[in-house]
Amino acid sequence: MSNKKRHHYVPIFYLIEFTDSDEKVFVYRKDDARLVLHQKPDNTGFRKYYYAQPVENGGRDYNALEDQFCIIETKWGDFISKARRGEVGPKELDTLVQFIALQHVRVPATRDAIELNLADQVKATTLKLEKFGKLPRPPKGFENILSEIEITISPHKSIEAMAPIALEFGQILARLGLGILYNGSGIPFITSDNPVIWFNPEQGESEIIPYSESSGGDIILFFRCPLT
Amino acid sequence: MIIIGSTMSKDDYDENGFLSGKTSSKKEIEKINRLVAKFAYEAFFGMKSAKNKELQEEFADYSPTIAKHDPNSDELEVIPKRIFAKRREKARWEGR
Repeated sequence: MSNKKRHHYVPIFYLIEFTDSDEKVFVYRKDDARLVLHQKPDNTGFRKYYYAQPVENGGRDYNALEDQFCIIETKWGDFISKARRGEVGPKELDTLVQFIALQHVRVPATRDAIELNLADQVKATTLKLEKFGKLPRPPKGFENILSEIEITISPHKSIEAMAPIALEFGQILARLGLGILYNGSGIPFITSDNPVIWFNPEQGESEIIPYSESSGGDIILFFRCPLT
Repeated sequence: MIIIGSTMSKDDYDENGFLSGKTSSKKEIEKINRLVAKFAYEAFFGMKSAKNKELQEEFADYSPTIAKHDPNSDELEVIPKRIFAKRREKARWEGR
């Protein structure tokens, strides 16, 4: 079996809805506000081997996670058909919850946050050990080496964290009443590389803290569904 | 369509099941689009429009990320603090 190189964190089928008559989508990048790309869904929303994992024999498995994601994505089409007919039952809700959870944990917004937090933990622990004299003294001329050092975290660590984060997220979803809002405004919805969002509904837009809840535990969540 | 979840509608949901509604309010959809653009990490996707370009400019270099922890802090745990800010660079992993 050939290895998949492009691992999409935004599924191709999800982006197809946003394509124009050229079968391309407009990509509004945040790191360069002058740049709007016009790309085929296959050419955006991916990183090379993003879900590859090391395996015991020393190699890497490039496909296992991608294949698992495909199974969940395939069920999504059934959900959409049934939602359109107003036939959303417990089985369909299970599909919905799985898909939303997957779209939350697989994206760089979540995986980078995990890796950055782990890097912060390693650095803080190292500096504490140094402070309490538990590390050898740095060589002359390198006195500040520990505070200047950059910590890198294996991307595999954020893959490992996806399952527990999905479970935690499932507990959040279980606290919510869910519904569909259809758009009859004539203004198309947009979507993003981080399509699951939630926050404290008591905060005004300018005060929103990402993924926060009110002191009473209230949350509002939005997830842009593929298909109108 | 968009899925909306809310703790405030949980009782209604438990009683009546999956809720659905339709809006023709442009203001409401623009408000949701602003949130989607704000929470986008590296990019958002949509049709070509002046409104989307405005959102891109407004939220350039502004993404959900975690605040840099002060490594000299006396806190026992490094709890991630979610914020909107410029995305933090990760040091590149060169291992397996």
